[in-house]
Amino acid sequence: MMKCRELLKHLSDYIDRDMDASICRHIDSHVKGCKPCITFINTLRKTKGILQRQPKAVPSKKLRSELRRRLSQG
Amino acid sequence: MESESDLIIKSKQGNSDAFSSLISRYEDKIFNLAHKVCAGMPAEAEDVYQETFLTAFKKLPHFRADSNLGTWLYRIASNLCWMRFRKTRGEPVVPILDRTHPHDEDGNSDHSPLWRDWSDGPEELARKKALREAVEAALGDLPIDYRLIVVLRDIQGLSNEETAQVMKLSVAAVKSRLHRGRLFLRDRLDKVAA
Repeated sequence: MMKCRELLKHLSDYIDRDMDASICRHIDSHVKGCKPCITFINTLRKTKGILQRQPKAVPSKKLRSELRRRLSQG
Repeated sequence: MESESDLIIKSKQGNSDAFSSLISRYEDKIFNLAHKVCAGMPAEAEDVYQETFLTAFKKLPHFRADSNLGTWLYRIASNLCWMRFRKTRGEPVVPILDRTHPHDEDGNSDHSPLWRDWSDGPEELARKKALREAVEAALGDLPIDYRLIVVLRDIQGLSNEETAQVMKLSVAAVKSRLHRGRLFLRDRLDKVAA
């Protein structure tokens, strides 16, 4: 049975679904009986979600024009 | 619409209108990268945005036709960010990685006091001003080598492989830094979101 600490190093790959199927099964099996790990995985997943949903910043019209002006001047 | 390869050829010949068309395809992505990496420093982000394209225009004759322009521009922008924040190099402090887990130490599985769940869904949390500010502050405290990876992967949406190409790192190194960066941010956001 995988211990909590061993599980920790795999958790980003786990939430990204980017890992060997056998390790994934070990984690699935562990978290079934480990509420703290479920909570931790949820919060790590939410961290990723929060980053993905950060509002996009765009350059102002003035800044875009300034860049083109500088480029045309060489 | 002209193809990207045609615009690159014209830009290499010094045609600034063609280069302006190329800029239009990438400038929002580059600006967002700069804005997130230069967390809370909008003037720095504006400088990185402008310097990225000015540098690209100068170096375009050396750009190889078989390369990906987006990757190349991300690399220039990432290098410019790195130069600005290189003094923040080092490993982020992640308490969970630096203490012995109670479960392993004494076999007691009741370690619930360590973790608190976050009540709101990510969508709702992301709209909250306090949380946005907390994300910005936490990113600003994350050492630059980790901050760049987190921003490229989780904010810009690049894959591990694309991020590795931009940063000239192995995929394993990208995954390792991404994980430590996420753990650091999770720990910091826990104070706001729990």
